[in-house]
Amino acid sequence: MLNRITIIIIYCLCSLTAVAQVNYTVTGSVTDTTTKQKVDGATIVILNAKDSIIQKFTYTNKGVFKVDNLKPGKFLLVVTYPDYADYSADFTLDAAHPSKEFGDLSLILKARLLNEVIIKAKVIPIKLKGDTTEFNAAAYATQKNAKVEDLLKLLPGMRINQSGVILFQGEQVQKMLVDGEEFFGDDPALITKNVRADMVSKIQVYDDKTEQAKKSGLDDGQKVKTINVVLREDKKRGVFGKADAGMGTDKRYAGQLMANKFSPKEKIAVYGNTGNTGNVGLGGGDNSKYGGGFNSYAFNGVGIPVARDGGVHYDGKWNKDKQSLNATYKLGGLNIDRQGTSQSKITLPDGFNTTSSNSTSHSHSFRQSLDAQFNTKLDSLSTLGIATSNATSNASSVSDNNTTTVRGNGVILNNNVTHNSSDYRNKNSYLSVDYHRSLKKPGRSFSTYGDISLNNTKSGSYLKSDLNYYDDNGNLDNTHSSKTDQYKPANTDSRYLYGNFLYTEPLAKHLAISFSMNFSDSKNSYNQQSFNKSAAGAYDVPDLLYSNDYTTTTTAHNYYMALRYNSEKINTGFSGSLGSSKQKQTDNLFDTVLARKFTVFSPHADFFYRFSKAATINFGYNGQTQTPSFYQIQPLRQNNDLLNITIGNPLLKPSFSNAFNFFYRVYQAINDQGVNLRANYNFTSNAIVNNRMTDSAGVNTYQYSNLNGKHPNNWNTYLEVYGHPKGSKLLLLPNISISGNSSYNLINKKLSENRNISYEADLPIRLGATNYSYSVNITASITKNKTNLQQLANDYKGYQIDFHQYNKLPFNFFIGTDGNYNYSAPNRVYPTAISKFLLKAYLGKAFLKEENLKITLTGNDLLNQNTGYNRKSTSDSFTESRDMVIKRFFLLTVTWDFSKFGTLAQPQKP
Amino acid sequence: MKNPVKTILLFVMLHSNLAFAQNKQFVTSGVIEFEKTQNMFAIIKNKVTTDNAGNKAYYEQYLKSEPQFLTYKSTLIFNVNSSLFTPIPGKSIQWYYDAPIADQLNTVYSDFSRGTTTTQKEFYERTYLIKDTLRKIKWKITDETQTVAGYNCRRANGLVLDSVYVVAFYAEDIHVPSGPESFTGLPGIILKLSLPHEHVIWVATKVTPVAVGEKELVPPKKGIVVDYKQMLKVLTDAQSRWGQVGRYFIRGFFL
Repeated sequence: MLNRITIIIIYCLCSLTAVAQVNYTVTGSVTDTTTKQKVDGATIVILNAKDSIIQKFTYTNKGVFKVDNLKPGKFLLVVTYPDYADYSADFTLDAAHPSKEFGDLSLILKARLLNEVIIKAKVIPIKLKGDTTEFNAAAYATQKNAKVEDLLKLLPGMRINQSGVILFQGEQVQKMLVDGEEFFGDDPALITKNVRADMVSKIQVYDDKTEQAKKSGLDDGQKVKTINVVLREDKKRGVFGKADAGMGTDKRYAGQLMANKFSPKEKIAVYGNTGNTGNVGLGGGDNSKYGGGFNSYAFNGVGIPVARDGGVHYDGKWNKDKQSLNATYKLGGLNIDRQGTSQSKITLPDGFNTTSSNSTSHSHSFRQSLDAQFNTKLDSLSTLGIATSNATSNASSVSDNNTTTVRGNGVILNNNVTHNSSDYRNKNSYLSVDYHRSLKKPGRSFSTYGDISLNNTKSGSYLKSDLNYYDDNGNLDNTHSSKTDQYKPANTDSRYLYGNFLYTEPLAKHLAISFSMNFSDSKNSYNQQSFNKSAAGAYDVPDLLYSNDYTTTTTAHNYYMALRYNSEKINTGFSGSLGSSKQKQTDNLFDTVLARKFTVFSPHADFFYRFSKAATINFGYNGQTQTPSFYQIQPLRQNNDLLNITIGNPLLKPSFSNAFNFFYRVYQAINDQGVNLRANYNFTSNAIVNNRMTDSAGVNTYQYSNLNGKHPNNWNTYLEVYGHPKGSKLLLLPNISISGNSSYNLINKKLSENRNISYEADLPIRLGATNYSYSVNITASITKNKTNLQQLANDYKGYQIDFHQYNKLPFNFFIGTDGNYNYSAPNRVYPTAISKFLLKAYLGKAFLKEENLKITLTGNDLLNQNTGYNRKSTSDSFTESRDMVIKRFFLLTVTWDFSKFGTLAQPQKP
Repeated sequence: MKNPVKTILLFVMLHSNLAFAQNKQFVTSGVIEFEKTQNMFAIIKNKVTTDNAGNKAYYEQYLKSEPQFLTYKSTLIFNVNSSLFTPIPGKSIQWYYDAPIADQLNTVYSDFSRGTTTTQKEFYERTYLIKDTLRKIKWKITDETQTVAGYNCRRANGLVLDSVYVVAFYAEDIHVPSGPESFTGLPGIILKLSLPHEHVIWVATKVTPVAVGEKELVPPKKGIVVDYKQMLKVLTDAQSRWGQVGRYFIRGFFL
């Protein structure tokens, strides 16, 4: 009987263990080291090894303990007992080791306290909030007096290239904010080089809508990659800044001053900058904003610049934050001397021509701008915003060019010598008013927005050109050759007016519908005259052939409807806008009018889904009618470059572009690892392409036309995986990007088809702490090129290694190097490889307690390999150029960082 | 030898008492008096949100006329298996200054052997009875200590409702995983607890180790029976139209 029961019980137990999950257990006992007695009532706590969160706890009974029903994983065992030091040990439970036997653990009285810190709160470095990636600054160690720039370099997925452009997951960051506010406009450099890393609590990166989309409510699918620097509460009140001055060999110098006074309600900042070392970086964001001719006077790494600029910024809130003002004044001057030569191979259906040119130029520019934005809450439901921007810029330049084109068989085709001196004056003003009102029903709102902008440009230029053609035998062809000596004054006026109304109505808890209507009206007049030199030596003989006087007007109106569903997991929207655009171009010299009307349609769809807190997926589609521009239809008559002439095409029709995008990402906070996958595909139907006719004299004539049957397209995929190897602080971020495009145009009436596929693999490795940092970045790329006209397939391969090292040495010395090695393999077009190794090294010593006074000796381009040599390929030409650039020099710099922060009225969280 | 198990147990107990006589005595039952202090300036300021700027006037009125700190009393009786937290009614706050975190809304019965709770919650004019498992709190212990009401306490930092930061000091000598309100789950009773971002703190003013019988530890009975999930839905449905203040209130009611 008893046997039977025993068998049944054993049987039951067996079947239970077979069915039930494995019972993971920990056992052990606790003894006092001094008395050798078992300790009763000691607390046994089992923590998760990764985040030290309590899983289970128990107390010793008769000195022994057993914790069961654990899950497999890595744990930390902590034993505590009053007046005794904590005991801790880690252990792992898995299928192979379902139980851990600790045996006898010894507790030591606190008098013999161990110094070992057993539990350290681990900071979670990254959080994904909606479509925002949030980096916790505390998780990334930076040096003392480091700036935001130094912090950004440590963040996974973030890269700053040599010209200071910030890339996040391969996409350019266009806007940067401090605590959600613009700081010196939205120029990233004034934040990255100015704000201290130790002031930052979080770095948030997200895709913002464009200003236009925000104001009109019209989703245009364009994303503005934005970084928001969130300051620490205890660093919101204080004074900080930096002053540095440096002198070097080759008459190089650089000086910089930045001072800031922050309080929770106000920020005041000034900066001044001067130098000829090429680090002009500051103020770079303005070029796109003020547009116009200013771009051509900007520094792009070519030539020798001398820059001076400065600015003042103020933002403040008052009257219980009901009113706020954000204003920035900037001014800057830039002189650039350029000197260079270039050689281009220009493809023809039956061969190629070679063009070589020598050029020198000197330019000077000066600009000023004042931007201000004022916001006020009219009552609890409505807000009014007024923004204004005023800018003036003056520039002048003198340039000389000598261009010679040689036929494929080596016989000279033409030669053009030009001398151009011009000056330029631009005034730009802008005013916008924005009103938003929330209505009583939650989610129902009305808003209206209007703006006006005025732009005037006056310029004058003297053009001297001596153009000679040669016949098949290389003899001068006097009948076609021409000399030009002209004065060309020009005046451009433009006015642009825009207004819209937007109404949003909630349909259900998560569903809303919006209606919008907008109109725009613009008027441009462009008057450019050409005067030949009279016998008396005055430029007073009008040359109507190369004079232009156009007035263009565009009026457009659009109707828009959008449906949006927004819940915690899903955010999706569909919208479309339909409208018309009327264009009129009047040629006042020849009294002709060109009027056209286009229907404009743009559908949009997006979908966002959150699988979990850490994984999200996005899809998007955008379509857009693109109307031909005036100058594609009727270009300006010009003789600045008689070898390259553009003619119009009044038969141009609008094209329609389609863009698809996809983004998937997942992040595991506990292991600080994640995956980002992006893909884009764009194609254009009825695309407007630029065609070229090269005649026997070597003159290129360009004309736009609609492309039939073929769809130019481009696509891109980007995969990034990042994480730490087991048990290491090293951060690995390998990523692969594959992109391709197909483009088409007509060359001498033959369809030229050009396909590219690029493969790029990138392996960045980073390691850093407060007293050292190392990073290596290896990039290899292959571009395959397929074209139907060229005999020379221009595939190219190359790789690049970037490295960075910084070490603190004893006695407050520090040393660092930044290297960049570039290799482009030879290919069928260029039989020689290019390799360039730019090495910069510095050695310095820090003084004072906070190490905020530094003397640094920097050697720039130590190997003197910055030759200014460049290769460039387009679908129908290859160009090699050599330009004067800044070469090796040494700079001795004194840097002083200052900061003083107030204390908080209320203490921070403990 | 009809009941060998009982005999063995008895023997083991006797044996252990003898063998560990010199060991520390741990408290396993008693009564604790708590005092809750709340910073009303900060609490009322939390109600002034961008979508409810109208509360600003009340906030300013409060600053002028009322005290910054209010205190309330409560008791916690416990034994090794269970505990009962009961608020003692105090001075009531004018409705327009009121916020759920400033009220003592809960009578909390916690059963540690079963891992369950019975919480009676006042929600405006209604009474709910939450029957669910003990609230999950992610605790991390630290090596910082402090003496509260004469007991050595160790600090633990926690996260409740996934976002509310809690700092607790638990007595290492009281082997009961209880604490004020529904804050439990540490290897000792919580004698001091603060919600820094909610601007409230509970501190034990008196700990009396006495025997507590099961009769004194009776779960509350009155109220509409729900679980935490249903309770949250009730709160969310009722407050969802209130915007930011609504979200603040939901958190206060749910804590």
